[in-house]
Amino acid sequence: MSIEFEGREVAIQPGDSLAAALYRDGVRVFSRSFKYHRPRGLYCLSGDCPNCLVTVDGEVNVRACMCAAKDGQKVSRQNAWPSVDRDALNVIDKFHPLMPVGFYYKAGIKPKFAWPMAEGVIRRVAGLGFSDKSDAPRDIDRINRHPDVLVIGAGVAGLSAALAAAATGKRVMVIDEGSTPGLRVAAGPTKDAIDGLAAQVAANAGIELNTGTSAVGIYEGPMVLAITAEQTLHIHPTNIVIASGGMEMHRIFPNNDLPGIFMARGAARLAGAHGIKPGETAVVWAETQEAVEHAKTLAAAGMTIAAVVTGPGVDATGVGNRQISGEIVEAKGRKKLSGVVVRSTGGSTEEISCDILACGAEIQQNMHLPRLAYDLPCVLAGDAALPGTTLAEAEQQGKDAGAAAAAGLPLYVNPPASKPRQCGTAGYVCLCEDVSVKEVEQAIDEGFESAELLKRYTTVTMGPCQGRLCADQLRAIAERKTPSEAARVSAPTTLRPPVRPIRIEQAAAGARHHIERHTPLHQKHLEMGASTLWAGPWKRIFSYGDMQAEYEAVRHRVGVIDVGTLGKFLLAGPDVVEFLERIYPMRVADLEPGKLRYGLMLEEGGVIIDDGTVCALEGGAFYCTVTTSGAERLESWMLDWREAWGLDVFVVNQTASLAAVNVAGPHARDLLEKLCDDPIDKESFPYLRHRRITVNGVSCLAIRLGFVGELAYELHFPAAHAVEMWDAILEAGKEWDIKPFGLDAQRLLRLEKGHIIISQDTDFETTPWKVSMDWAVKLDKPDFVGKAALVRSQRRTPRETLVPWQMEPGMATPAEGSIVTVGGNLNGRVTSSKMSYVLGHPVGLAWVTTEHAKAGGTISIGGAPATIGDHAFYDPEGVKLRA
Amino acid sequence: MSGLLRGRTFFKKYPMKKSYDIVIIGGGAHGLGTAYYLVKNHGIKAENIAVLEMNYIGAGGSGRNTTIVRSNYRTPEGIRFYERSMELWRGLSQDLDFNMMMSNLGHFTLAHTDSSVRVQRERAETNKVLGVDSRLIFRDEIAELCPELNMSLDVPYPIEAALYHPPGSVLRHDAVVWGYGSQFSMRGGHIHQGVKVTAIRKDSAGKCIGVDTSQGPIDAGVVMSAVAGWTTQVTDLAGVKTPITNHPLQAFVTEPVKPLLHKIIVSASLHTYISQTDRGEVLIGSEIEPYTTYSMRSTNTFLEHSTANALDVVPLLARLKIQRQWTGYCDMTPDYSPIMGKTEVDNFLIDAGWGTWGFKASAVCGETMAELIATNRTPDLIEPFRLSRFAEEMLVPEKAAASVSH
Repeated sequence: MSIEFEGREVAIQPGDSLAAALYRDGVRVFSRSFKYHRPRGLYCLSGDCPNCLVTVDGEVNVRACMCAAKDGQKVSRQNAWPSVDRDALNVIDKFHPLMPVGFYYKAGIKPKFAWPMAEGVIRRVAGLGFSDKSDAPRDIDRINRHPDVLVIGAGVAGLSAALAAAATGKRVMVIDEGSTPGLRVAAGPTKDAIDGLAAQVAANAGIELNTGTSAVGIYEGPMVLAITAEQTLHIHPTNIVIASGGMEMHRIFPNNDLPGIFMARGAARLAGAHGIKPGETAVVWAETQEAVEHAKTLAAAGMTIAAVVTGPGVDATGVGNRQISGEIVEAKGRKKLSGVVVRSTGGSTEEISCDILACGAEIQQNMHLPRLAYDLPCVLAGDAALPGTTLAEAEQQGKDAGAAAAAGLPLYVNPPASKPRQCGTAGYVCLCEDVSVKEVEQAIDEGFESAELLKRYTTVTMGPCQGRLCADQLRAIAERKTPSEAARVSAPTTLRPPVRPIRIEQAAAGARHHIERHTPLHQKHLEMGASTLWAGPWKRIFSYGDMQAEYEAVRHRVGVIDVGTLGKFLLAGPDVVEFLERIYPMRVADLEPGKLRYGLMLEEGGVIIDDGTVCALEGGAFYCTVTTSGAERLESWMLDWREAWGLDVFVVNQTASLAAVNVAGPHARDLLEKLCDDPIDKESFPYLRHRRITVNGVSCLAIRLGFVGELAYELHFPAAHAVEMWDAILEAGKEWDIKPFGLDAQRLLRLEKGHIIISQDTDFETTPWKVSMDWAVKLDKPDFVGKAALVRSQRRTPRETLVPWQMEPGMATPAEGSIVTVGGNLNGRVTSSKMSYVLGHPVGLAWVTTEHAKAGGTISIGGAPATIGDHAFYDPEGVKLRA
Repeated sequence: MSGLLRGRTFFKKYPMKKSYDIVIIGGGAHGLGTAYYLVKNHGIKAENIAVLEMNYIGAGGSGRNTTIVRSNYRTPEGIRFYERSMELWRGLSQDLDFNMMMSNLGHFTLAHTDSSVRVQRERAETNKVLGVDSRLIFRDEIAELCPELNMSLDVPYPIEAALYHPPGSVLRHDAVVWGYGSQFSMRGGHIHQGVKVTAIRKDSAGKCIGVDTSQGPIDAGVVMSAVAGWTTQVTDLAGVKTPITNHPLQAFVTEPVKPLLHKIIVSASLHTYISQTDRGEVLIGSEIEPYTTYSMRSTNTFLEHSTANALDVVPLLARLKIQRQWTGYCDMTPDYSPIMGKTEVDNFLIDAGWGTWGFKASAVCGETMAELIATNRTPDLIEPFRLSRFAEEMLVPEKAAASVSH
């Protein structure tokens, strides 16, 4: 088994991460740093630092230490030219003094043309890897899980918590990043403890262990977002135990970024978990007793331990060639580590040769998850709760946390604030962004005192590690430089999700679809060659291929349109009249059964939000229609008002259960009479009336409306009969050469009548006054939504008015959205515009300033003159629709 | 280049005085910009002006926005206003001796539906009349100018057209805050960070005469509120009513990668905007959340939908890694235009209602608010944005050009 690494084969072994495989093969420089292109080697081996970001199979910034090596993977390093081993861009490092902190803010200002030129270069030099442009997004499964208790982290504390919670009978889910618990822990007492607990967990049917699963965010709910190689998990537990552990602090001293310097846990991982000898000679800096164990692990792997440098209270007796109480103050070496300078507690310094330095610094909490869980039902355990816990402590804390979480105790976590951490006086604070202590101090001298400003000015904490290594050190420097305002300048910066980087396609899992609603006739339309367009969540029919033929059929013979997408509501109940009187601005109370009325819907500001019809049914109920895109919104809107007013009304949404078609044209009645035995002549069933009639054997609510300006019957009936009804109408209409028509034809038909379409011709400040629909508003009603605002605005002349306009025959039809000018000045805009076939010239609607909105006046549209009308262009008296 | 080597100080600190001629609440780009132009354009002594910031300068909307500047708005009032801002942006690095890193990428507003094409055409034509460079372009030209876009017709929302605004740019938002702040501070202006205003003081006639703060009272001749997302909290102190509601707005950035996207992409239908910074991070955002809150907690719902929508438009982003998501506040007005100028409380001015369009206005906003304070006369450019327009029903409807488009 092997991977392909920059053109050559590298053998891999079972259990290898990419980092382990490459290191075994002799790779020491894993990346070049972001700004100065300094060589960087493996450091944390826990996914917490930026040093091992590589490109794997076209995916950039993969953490080599966290990625399991698989046969055939193509791996390459990033951010170097021509190669990471010999990076010419490293010369930037030589110009360090010329690139002070805030360089980009200070340089390239004058002359003015300098910056655009420099910027092109900067854009190319910045960034870490070339993203593969050819790959299409993969669809990732999104899985929802609902355990009682979720435990994040399968270490000693986490596994103990899981066992304790499961003992109470709760369903427990454990997630951990490694492919097995303790994967990255070297042999020793901790590993033994994990192995023992893991065996118990495996035998416990109440616990589900999910390895290879990273928690990346905790959101309200609580909802934990987690990822695996294949899936995105949404985990909705009742309680969470966070046992995500801690990490050794990043220590800052000159040259602290040289390849060969490891966190002690990282070096031990390489030696103890992967069986790779990190180097020949190591110095181990043990600030914790744990780090002494790591020194033993390195020794067991065959390394010479030149010295163990111990911090206060650490006992390294018998480990390594020497034990020195003191600290590391400097690393030596050019491209890799060659030695370290140790200062003993007594104050003497000496240089010790070594090729590996293992820094076993004080343990800090992995703070991201606890901080995201602020105010949510969580319990912390182990290093995540109290950094530096012993094995026994971790086990006890885990048990307590598991029991508490299982009991559902309302333990809303207020995670302990981290402290500004001890920080050296020279070296790199931030490995991601290449920022040294000196640069941070200079930034403070320049006036950027607080951690928040330093973060933004120096970019410390803003790189791939997101502050894991550097956030608390940054605060420490700020505190040291401005002690008089310590609290303000060292206030912690905010931590944000995701905790681990997550691919965009992983975040989008399960959301990459758009709801597309169809009427029962949709397939029929497609079979007839229809083209479609969006109308709210619906796909509606635009045209069947020949808009003019569809139009001519309606104007001269008969046509049929599928209007099943209209919002359809049945309203009933003791207070229904009162409710509708308040919902609509027109009068409803006097509407007799069998009659109907056009109704606007307004918001509180008097602005039109929708329109439709209200039919009074026998028995006191009402049937209301609203626009296609408005249905869902208006249902909740009506229900909100119902609750607000406390009225006893039922609102039944019949949008999907009823189909609707509109048969329109001079022969509409002739056609329906072939399918219907009920009287539908002009006298029995006049305009603006509705009747229940039986068409093609199906009981329909038939409504006589005139949106398209011809004799028309809108039939509403159970959706199950839609296809047979449609076929029957088309069959019966053959003798008049019936055509189904789409929205394109309908828009022209209504435009010739001057009817507006809400949202196309109106905007969010359109009141009825502005569209000359005063007739649809009864201000003498006690109240209705929007009345107060309309009363106020009635006193003023609106700035703009919607007017119908027409052009001379032979003129080009202006595009919708064209602007209107008067006397060369911008005056308004065209909302609707079409060539009228019946009139032989363009017609439309436009907003113009009220002072110019006079019938007979001339406006200019795209330089061409148009005349403002004052009524419908087609059949102004409405004779045809009343036929 | 020599300037790089000499030591520079950008901010000085002064003890807080008991009295200033002018107190500006809010140390963002607007507040600091106003302070700077008061000194530069109107000769007001910097030491007589105080900018009070409850957190750190640029902590609010100034530091959490899309960094896009453009002037392709819908109404003549909006276009003239934002076009003046563009003029200022173009020379601001030199004016402030601080590199704003203005990056003239060009701005695309995509149209996926015929109604959207209609709106973009109206904007293009209105822009043209007012001398703003923008035009409606169609599929072939879009594909040529921005090959990263998904031009497939076999998607739910194919790209039909785009409003192309070549001057549209991004710049470094923090640099704007620091540039203005530094020039103001180095001329002797007082910036007090970590100071919270707790009351607006008025005399018996109801005139504003100063503020109370967490560090004591301050007398002031004029008080201006420039706190965007926190406006309602300050206007409550002053007893001024505004039609502002506060909505969260979220965004995220990816880890930096080499250049792969060379334009600013906005899709109103898909509620997404996308651009790549000079650092290589791809910045993706959405429209405001539908609910009002003062919580800054991020949501996964946002992450899910903004990523899904961004992939519809630019599929090659799929493997980029999300590094950080965050939330800001938007003080939304009913007509998506700002509220600037005098209030019914004498000597208390507001600069608010900045929703999702505040950053790009900060330059012109500073200039015009400074003129208002210095001359006590409302400049023509901001007169349409007066608070009283809501009662007068004289709205400046920018929803079609301001929502999502940022």
